[in-house]
Parts: sequence; C-alpha cells; structure tokens
Amino acid sequence: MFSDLVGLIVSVSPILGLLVWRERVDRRQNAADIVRADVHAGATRALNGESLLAINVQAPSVWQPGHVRLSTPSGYEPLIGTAFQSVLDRVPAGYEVVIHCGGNS
Amino acid sequence: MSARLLAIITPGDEAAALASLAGLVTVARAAEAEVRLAYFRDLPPPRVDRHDRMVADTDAEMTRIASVATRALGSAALVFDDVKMETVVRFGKPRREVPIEAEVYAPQIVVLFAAAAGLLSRLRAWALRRRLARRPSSRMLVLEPARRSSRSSTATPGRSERQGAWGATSGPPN
Repeated sequence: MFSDLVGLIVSVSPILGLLVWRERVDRRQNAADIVRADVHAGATRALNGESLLAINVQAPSVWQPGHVRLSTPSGYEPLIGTAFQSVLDRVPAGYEVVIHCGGNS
Repeated sequence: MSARLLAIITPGDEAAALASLAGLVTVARAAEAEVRLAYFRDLPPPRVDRHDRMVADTDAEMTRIASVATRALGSAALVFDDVKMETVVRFGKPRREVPIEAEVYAPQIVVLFAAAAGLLSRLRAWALRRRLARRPSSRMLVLEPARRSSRSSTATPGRSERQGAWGATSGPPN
C-alpha cells in the first residue's frame, strides 16, 4: 500500500511540478502584459496619440528582473525622451527600463 | 530639488558609455535630473619599465587614469551644456564600490550601459544589477547603444576600444 502511494507520488510529481511551473510563468506573463498595457497607455498619452515608439515587456524570471524595452526607428529617438517620465512612473518595482539608443538619439 | 541620475561605467563599458551619452542626456533632460558619471576601475598596479624599475606608483597611476577618464567624459559632455553633469572616478572592485557610490549619492535613477560582449563581462554586469536591484528607492535604466551595421563591424575599432579602458597601457614604457 505504502509503496503504491510512493510510486504514485513519484510518477505524478514531475507532471504536477511542470504544471505549477507553467502556471507561474503564465502568471508572470499576464503581469507583464498588464505592465505593457499600462506603459503603452502612459506613452500614448504623453505623445498625444499613437506613435512609432515600440514597447516590449519581458516578464521577470528567477534569474533576472523584468525588462521594459523602448525603441524607435532611427530618427525618431526624441519620442523616447518625451515619453520617458511617463513610462518611468508606470514601471513597477522589479522591472528595468531598457532604452535602445539609435544613432540620432 | 532636482532628481539625481547616477551613470555607472565599469571597465569594458567605456565605448558603450560614450556611444550612449546622447541617450543619457535625453533621459536626464526628460527627468530634469543632474547627472553623475561614475567611472569604476580596479586599483592599478604600479607601472614598471622593462627593467622592472618602478616609474609610477599606484597613486601616480590613479591620478593619470582619473585625469584621462575625466578628460574623455568631460569633453564628450561639453556638447550638452544644458544638463548639469559631473564626472567622478572611483578605484576599487566595482562590485564593492558601486553600491557604496549608490548609497552615498542616493540617485533616483541608476543608469547602466549594455555589457560588453563576452561571458565574463555579462556575468559581472548581471551580478552588479542584482546588487543594485536591492535598492528599492532607485529605478534601473539600461542604455543600449545602436547595433553596428555589418559594414561598420568590420571597420577598424575606435581609440577607446583599442585601448580597452581609459588610461590603459599596452606595455611597459621604454
């Protein structure tokens, strides 16, 4: 009886572990999506509408903090400066702001 | 009171720092911040000639390196006269000195430059970020310089890249 129980636990625990891990990853990704939406809304307001500012949010992991990456096409770098303060106010703790400096920034 | 922005330059980041200076100033303008460019460098060994005679002790080397770094950063920052910018050079292990500088200056924004290529540099940058991330009062910002095009990647490296670090010497003086 006991050995059957141990066998069941041993065989089921990898699957349960995988499910728990996926659940955590999905939650972090959902949180990152919310951060992205918030940052995008702030940037859109600061720039008075949609712009060429690209916002890419990477969820934090065990090894590294989350990243809010701002980038623009070459020649449109001043958009980052205009939206920066608004973006910074909306980035939660545990996230880094990464700015890709183009040639004309 | 204006915000404070601490830009951390570690050995290997010199070229990236100079390339990203315009981006740094843009950020400082947006945040209405004053900037401290802090260059961290290991304590230099005494400089000896080829006969192992000491030509400059550690103090003299520190003065020389500080002078070179201050001049390089100061001249690059001269273009942006609307942002208050100061340059400091700190000697010692960056992993110890950077948190001390962040503690003393108490910046609202800490700026790091994208780590140089190489596993060791990336590991060091990662460890430094982990340490700085423990400070809840300051936000982390990473500036990545523009990637080189395939044409420019084959070009001759710039002066600072050839030197590796400000004030670095390629060999003993004659």
